[in-house]
Amino acid sequence: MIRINGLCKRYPGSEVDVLKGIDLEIAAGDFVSLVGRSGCGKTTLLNIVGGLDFDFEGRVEVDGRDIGSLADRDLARYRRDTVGFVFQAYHLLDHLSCAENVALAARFGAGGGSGAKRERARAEEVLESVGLAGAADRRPTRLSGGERQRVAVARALFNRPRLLLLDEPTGNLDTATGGEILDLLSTLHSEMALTILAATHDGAIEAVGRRLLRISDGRLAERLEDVR
Amino acid sequence: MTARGLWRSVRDDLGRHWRHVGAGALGIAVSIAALVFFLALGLGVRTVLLGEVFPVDRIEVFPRSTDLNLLALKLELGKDTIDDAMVGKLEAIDGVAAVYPKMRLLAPALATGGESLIGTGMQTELVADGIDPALVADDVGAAFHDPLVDRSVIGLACGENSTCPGGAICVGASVFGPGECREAIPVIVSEHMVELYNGAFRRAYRLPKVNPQALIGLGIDVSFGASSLRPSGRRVARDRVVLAGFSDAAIPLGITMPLGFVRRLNRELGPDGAGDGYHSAVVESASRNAVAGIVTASEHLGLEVRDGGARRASFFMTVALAAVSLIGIVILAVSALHVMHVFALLVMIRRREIGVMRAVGASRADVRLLLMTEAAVVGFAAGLCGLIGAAVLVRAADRALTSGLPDFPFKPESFFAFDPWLAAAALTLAVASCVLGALAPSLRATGPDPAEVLSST
Repeated sequence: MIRINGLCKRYPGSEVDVLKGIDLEIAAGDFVSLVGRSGCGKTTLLNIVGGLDFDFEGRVEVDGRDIGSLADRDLARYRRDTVGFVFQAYHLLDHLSCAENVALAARFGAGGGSGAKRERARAEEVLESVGLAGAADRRPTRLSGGERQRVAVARALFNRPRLLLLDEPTGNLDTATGGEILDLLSTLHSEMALTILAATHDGAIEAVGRRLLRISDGRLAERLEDVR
Repeated sequence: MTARGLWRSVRDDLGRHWRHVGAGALGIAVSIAALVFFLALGLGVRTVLLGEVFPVDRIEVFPRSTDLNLLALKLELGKDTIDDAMVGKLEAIDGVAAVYPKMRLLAPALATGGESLIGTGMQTELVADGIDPALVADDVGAAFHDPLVDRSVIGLACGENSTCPGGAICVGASVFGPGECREAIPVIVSEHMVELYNGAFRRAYRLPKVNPQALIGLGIDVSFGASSLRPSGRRVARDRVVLAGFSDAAIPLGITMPLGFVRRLNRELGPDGAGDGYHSAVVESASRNAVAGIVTASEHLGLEVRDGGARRASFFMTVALAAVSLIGIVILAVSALHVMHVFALLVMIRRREIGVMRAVGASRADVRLLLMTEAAVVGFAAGLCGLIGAAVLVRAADRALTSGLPDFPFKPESFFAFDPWLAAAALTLAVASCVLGALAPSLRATGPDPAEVLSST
């Protein structure tokens, strides 16, 4: 599903490459954990694969499409239809209800403009699937950290993506809540046959992932295949 | 971006940030109100000036002559009349709808009468002009016509003490022989004369104020060829004129008679050749846009437009409207700058939100469309508020002006021209200024990639 060749990334104003020639292949349905120290390039790699960062060198293909060559409109469609992204900081919009946050992508054409009732029904369905049935009309500010992260996961799942990218999904959560999120992700992976790439410090996620990749000094220094 | 999604986002965002956008909209609304108010006033005054005081769809052309100053006198050089051939050339100019020649009465005239109206008889020298009755047909209808054309009353003999049928008068009867029954000469005057009488004249002579409409049908006796200034030595023709109505096309001070009658008087009582040429011609244009071309073509024919008042009024109004528009546009531009700052602030506040929208599938164009639509909605609402404010101001000011100002010549029923196109243009301007103001912030908002935005928030 994902094929990366010679991926390099240097931030403007920096003299150091964050990613130095990454080569990687991830098959459809894989659950890959990406580990490494802070600042090693995990988030950068996720952003590039998720189409959020398009200033890089090398080739990144997802489902045969070269991400780097996509025009802005096509890249937006890729983010909308193919990828679900869960941020460490949740990035929920406080002025919207949980259902509106979850269905935000529909405003930009996700679901082909299926209508308000169907959008609402889909939002409630994914909220229920992450264990937040009945929270559709609540504001994110009224939710706990774990609940917010569940809403963020629900938002990522709204448009039935094939690729789920998780950036430290338990980084802001206590151990118990992080465990719940982890269980949820494990369930989703097995039930929806999602391809998951998760950047994490969390040893528990490392354990859940089918593959474990370690980034060090901008390179994939170590591969531990089929750790489970 | 779907239309429903766009509308929901615009509604949510403007509802959330109404204080900020309201501040920007207020400037636009005030600018639009001021612009529309002054433009409506300018256009209203312009309509009166150019439509009634100096009607520019009708211009009067004169033979171009050069005067030579000789101490206190002027020596007139060149031709001072227009012949029928020239009238034909004028009619052939592109955009000319009709040409109405005018002829001055070149014989002195002395008017006597007025007892029935003001209780005392008056005698005054009279200045008279002759115009084609068709020129004032819309103002006074068939009442103003050449009496010599009505053959039914011409030719009936009458004596000094006999009466003529149908209100006709006996002209030329004396002890030496019978006269001829003839309809009284219909004349028209400018309302300006009545205003002059009711203003200064009647106060100076302690005379009663008159109702203009009651004057219609009033007759006075006129001795053509007679003068109280000095004996003319000419034959005197006594006749009677009857006021047929009022028209702006009438001579400002004096009476205006049917052209054919003046021509006959000039031939009988005036100098040699006095009834052969016209002294000016009123050229009616098919549209106001054609006036400039007609003026140019007339000047090429050796004629000139002496209507300096119209030119000055037109120039003054054009300059005044341009100045008002410029001031309005400057205020609007300042307001647009304010809108730009407001949207720049909003973009900064909504930086994370915009990043999230792009992360879930919004393209740069979607975000720009959203921000520009919000700006357009703000502009439309502000423009609408400005228009309503302007309408209220216009109504209040119009009421104050029409009721507060004393009567004066050409005082309009309304000082404002609040046309639909002005409202549409103002709304368009309001929307355009807001959209332009929001353009730079919306471009900046979509500059960085979503990863950069979200990592910094």
